[in-house]
Amino acid sequence: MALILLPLVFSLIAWLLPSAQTRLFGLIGTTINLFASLISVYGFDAQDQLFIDLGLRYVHFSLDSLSYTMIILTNAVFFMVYLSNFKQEITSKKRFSALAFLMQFGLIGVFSTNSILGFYIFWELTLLPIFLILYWFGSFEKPKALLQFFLYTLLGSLAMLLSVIGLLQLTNQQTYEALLAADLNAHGATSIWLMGGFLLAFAVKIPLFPFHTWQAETYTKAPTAGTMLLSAIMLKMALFGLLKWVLPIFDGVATEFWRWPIITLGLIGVVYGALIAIKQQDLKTIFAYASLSHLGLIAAALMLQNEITNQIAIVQIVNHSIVSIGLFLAAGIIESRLQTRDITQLGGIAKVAPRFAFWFAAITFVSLSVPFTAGFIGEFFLIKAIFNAHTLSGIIAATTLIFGAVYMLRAYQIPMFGPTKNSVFEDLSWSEILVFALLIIAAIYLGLSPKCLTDFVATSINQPTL
Amino acid sequence: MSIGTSLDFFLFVAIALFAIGAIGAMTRKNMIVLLMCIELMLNAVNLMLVTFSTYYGNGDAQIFVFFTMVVAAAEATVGLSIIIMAYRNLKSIDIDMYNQLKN
Amino acid sequence: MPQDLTLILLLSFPLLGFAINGIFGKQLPKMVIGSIATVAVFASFLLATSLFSRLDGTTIVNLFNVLDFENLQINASFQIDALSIWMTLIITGVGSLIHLFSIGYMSHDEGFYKFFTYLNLFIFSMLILVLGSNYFVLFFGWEGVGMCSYLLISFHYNDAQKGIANSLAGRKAFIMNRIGDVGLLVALFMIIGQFNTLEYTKIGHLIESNKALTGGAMFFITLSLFIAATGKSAQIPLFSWLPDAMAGPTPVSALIHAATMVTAGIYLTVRSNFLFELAPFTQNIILYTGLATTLFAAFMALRQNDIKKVLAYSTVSQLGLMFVALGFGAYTVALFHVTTHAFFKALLFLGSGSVIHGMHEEQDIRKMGGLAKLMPITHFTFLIGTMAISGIPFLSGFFSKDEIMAQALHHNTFAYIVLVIAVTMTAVYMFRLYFLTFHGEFRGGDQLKSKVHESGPSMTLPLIILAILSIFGGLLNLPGLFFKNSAHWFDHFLSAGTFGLNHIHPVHLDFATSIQLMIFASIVALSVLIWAYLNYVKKGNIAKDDKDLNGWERLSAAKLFVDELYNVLIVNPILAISDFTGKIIDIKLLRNGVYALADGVLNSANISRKWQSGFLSSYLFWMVFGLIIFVAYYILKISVWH
Repeated sequence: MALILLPLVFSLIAWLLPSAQTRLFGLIGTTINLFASLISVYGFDAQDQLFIDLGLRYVHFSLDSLSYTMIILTNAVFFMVYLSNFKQEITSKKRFSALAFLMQFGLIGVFSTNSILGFYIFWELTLLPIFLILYWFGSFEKPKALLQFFLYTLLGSLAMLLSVIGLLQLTNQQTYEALLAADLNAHGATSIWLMGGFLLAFAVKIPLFPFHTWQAETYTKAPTAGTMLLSAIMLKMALFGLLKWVLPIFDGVATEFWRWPIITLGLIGVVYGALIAIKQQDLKTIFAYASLSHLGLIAAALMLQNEITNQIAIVQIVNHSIVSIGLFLAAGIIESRLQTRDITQLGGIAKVAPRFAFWFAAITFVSLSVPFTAGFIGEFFLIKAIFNAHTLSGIIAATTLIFGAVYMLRAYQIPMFGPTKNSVFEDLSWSEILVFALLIIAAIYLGLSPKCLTDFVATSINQPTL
Repeated sequence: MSIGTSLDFFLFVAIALFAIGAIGAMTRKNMIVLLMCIELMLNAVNLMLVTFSTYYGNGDAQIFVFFTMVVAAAEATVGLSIIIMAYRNLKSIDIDMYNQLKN
Repeated sequence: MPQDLTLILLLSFPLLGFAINGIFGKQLPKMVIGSIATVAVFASFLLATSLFSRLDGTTIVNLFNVLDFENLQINASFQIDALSIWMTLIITGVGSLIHLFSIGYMSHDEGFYKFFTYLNLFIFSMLILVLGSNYFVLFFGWEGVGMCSYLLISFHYNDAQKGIANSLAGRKAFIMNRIGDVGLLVALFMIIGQFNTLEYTKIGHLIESNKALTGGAMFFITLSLFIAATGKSAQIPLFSWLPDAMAGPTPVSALIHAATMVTAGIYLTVRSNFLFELAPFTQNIILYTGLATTLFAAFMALRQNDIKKVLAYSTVSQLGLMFVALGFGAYTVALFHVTTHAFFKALLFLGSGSVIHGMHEEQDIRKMGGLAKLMPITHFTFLIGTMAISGIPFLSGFFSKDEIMAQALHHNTFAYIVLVIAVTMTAVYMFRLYFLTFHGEFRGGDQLKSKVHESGPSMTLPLIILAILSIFGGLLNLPGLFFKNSAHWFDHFLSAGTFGLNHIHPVHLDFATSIQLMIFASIVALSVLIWAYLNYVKKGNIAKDDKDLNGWERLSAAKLFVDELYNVLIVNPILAISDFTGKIIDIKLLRNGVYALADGVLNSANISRKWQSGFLSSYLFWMVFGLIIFVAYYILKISVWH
């Protein structure tokens, strides 16, 4: 219970505390959250399911190993965001801390709730803080770009709301277990429409082609901390929703209907995002399209509803969080030191900032999924799953390996090795090095021993029907 | 004088009052006149209520009329004070001056 | 020491060296760094010899379980057999010599510790590649060596003039390797689909017990494996990264791009021999790809003027030769050439490194000449390397090439003729390189001449050892006509100890044909030697300037315009598509489409809000108007329609 409510409490405290202490409080608060979740998981048996009743009528909570994984990921991401932005101005802002903790509360709610209504409510709750963070701390010249993000997600949420209402009408059930037990196949076309509503919401959030246009623009205009939150954890809500809620509940007619359309969109995203990333100039834009490419692959693989693939998808989700924090941190570091992210304006940073060059290279290689990193395992098995389902699709998915090398190495080499354009560059601070080191260690640990994660989540993924 | 002819008579008066009030509210721009026109329409309705009440021999509507009159009195008070406040702001009680909310 | 412990130690030494140098390298003196790295690799070499001496069939060492799914287990397990240990010996043996050489060669480099860190990581990845007992572990190493290769090619990214070119060369290598990796990935998926395991021995046994497995599936699996091999081993069409990879420091070229990593494709094919045996059509593809590569690469080497570029094309050509042998199913023959090639090509590269070091980073042979007197040891060892690769009788290259030629003569006369042409060209460009570098007048100017010096002992010692190996390496696999009893020791050793190879024996020609073949090859090599001597030393011809080249020479110097062709056919279209999707589809179509939608809503609101004029009287008017319509409707409804 404390696990769920702590962020909410911290959010309130952050409002009340004087501004001078906000920064330290943020770091301490996220650390406490992280340790709370780690301690909590220590006494948790992966086979178990923990029901939590907060006395609410329609919103219940239950924790299984999948929820735990996502909650720890959330808390770790928030901790990293605070740590990596510790020197930035944004963390000293009271409003940011309050909103960030509120968002953390919303995310934990999404990952731990047991009722479909709760899922919707928390899903919406996360949108408000990120919108305000973008609004207050972003550099949006036109309100249109920000509105685009807001309306896009709102439109998706609206579709999801309709589906939730439809689902409640149809089954008269609202807890996860009861919904699993309900047979939606009997409703045929209706269940297809209901699932479509959910999928629209997820497609916007993941994002899938062609619902991705908000992504690049939002990422580039958002403050680095906001981009990290968006990319590292918020997008994962959609994958989580797909994996835990939608696919098991609509198992059958509706899933059959949507499987290949979604896989196709995912794979289009894989190639499309990579192709665009090849020639972009802005580091954050490159990483945004890379994200489109990577997440498309995960979404496509999840649609196959294969137990092994689902377990591996979790590894890849965690890996993507690691990569996106690292890459956006690197982009943020460059931006905060040099006031530009345009790679044509950058060059020769490696000479003046060797430590940054090393850690940026390391995270670049993690994102290229070289051996010893989680992405290696993740991409291998996800592509394998798609290949087994459909050979040509698998080969298309495998091109991500090639294109990934093209755009990531370009994004790395030109700023770092190119002709010297930036002769002054302050090397990394301790907190930034710590973040990079933690990320790399996590990636390598998962790359060598993905078993610890896949085994942990196995039970909650493999027994969706109780 | 039968009640039938007198009903028509009362109703005609009420409709006439209402029409005068409505046309006045539509055409005039002085806020006080507008308020008076609205009162006129209210009274037309009151008159109708009383008429029908008598016609059907049921006293309920007459009680409603008392309510309406009380509310109308309160409304006039509030309305007049709003007009005074408005006048202090723009030095005018022309209703067309008060369109700042448009944009 | 038990075998599994030996193996773990063998793997962990380079990793340890990597860790120590990577973490503490900055604080340590150069001598210590170099010693740690070299000793780590040499220790692995000693352990490998210990394993080699105790070799007994196939031993599998299971370290830990990576992933465990119901129908598929993936283990980090390693396999000790003749093939893997032989490769290990080459990697660690030649590797430690090159490490030793690097201590001297890189002594002036500021990235000294980084260099040895990467080198040790490379050795580790390469050992993983060859020692793994399943394709997954192999893939692990496969990607790992690709990464190290990238790091080491773009090592001199700081260079003032060539920095960006170096890092671009690294990127090109990485991307081309990645194309091959996709082939390997696809092959792995198909193998899992077909056999439900990735363990070599299990697949082998499954094939043995089920002879019916042929046809389409095997063809696609082996073809994908071969695509992977073309990427790593620089065969047509994925060969053009290797000459560019010469941007890396010379020891890297010797270790990665000559002796070890580029032979990974051959290792993969030999390891998967049981699969390739079931796919004769793929074998034909391999044969003709190998032939084309060896011929074209040799042609391109003819008029290169960069000492390392000549050797690079020569490597591509030699790798093609090995693939020809693989195409004939002569796996042991290919590996024999891998071995001798590792000796003499590492020798040549290190020799060229010594030259470049002595010449203060000058690589153009037009500026060299007469170095024989200035760098006697380098000259002598380089000569041995040149003779070995050119097939001068009784040196190692003579025997290993002869084996391949014998296979070709036996199976396919056309292939034999092509090989003769390619081998002749090899001798031509190698002697051209040798004579232009070491004989004649020094052409680099007096100022440079005074500074040219012979390299120190840490550099010449590896040269001498490699030269000895290049001379006597042929003894490993002497043909039957020399020593009846111990003939073809290497063939027997590999066949006996490697899974699958015990069924497959390369053809051995009869006595008379062998003799004829050898004599013919000797005549070719020696006559080229004499011609080159007359041409370059007696007549004093030197390499022409670019503008004086005639038709074919220009074609050779421009590398057959392959890079340009790829740019036109592949790179530019992809960039154009990227531009198109990025600027037109994504921005113009999708994003602006969304904006247009939003604008549409906004505009419609702008129009409709005009109604809300803000004038009370107009609101009232519309209200009354609506009332009238409403009332009229009901009156009409009651009075007219009823």
